[in-house]
Amino acid sequence: MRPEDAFAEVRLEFATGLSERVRTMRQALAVLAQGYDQAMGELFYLRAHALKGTAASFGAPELAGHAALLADLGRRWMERRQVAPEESARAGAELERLGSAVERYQASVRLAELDGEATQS
Amino acid sequence: MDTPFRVLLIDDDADLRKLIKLTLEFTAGWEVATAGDGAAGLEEARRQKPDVIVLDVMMPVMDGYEVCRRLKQDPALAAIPVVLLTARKEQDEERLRTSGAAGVVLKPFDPEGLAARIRELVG
Repeated sequence: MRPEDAFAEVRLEFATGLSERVRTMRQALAVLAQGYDQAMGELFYLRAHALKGTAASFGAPELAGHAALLADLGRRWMERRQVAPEESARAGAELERLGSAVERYQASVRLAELDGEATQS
Repeated sequence: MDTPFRVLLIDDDADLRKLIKLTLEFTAGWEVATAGDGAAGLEEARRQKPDVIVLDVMMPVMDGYEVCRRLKQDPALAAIPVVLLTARKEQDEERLRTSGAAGVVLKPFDPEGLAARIRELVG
């Protein structure tokens, strides 16, 4: 396999898996909005924190920016063991923005994939 | 023939593991083994005795600091340089400084410059 194909494959896997990352954070937030839960708090923070670092390394700064904001909220919740209603609403709105950014990123990766296939054929 | 430089990468993010592995293999020609959590990483380290261990800090169950502490307490592994990957330099400054690691790579990082940065840290 050529290096560029291997990297394209990993980028596509990352892009495809983003929907699951966002879904997991939404599910954790739904629980946290009802009251702080240690396991869900950690899950939310770790997922957002991981996405922040990974997205930027994949050249997706928009995703990293949304994830950074969510990770920051998640870290504060873990420290205080409490989620204020306005914070969960803010996180929900940020997750919506992240979801839209994910869709745009996935579309751009698919487009690049198609371009790559067209160049090879 | 020269033996390739052998890296053990321990990171719970599967996508980032694949990206780093590919990058180090293709850009530097290194041999990269991976583990997805701290316990598996310690086991791999004992089995492989790599030239360097690249270790994510924020991992569930056993974080990178604990993995690093266990590595440094094991006489068979203590000499292997550890490079920590983190996005929390400011919050963790003291822990990073006392971790026993050879150095730190901050996330996000430029994948193409990663091999050079690791070389720089481990000498």
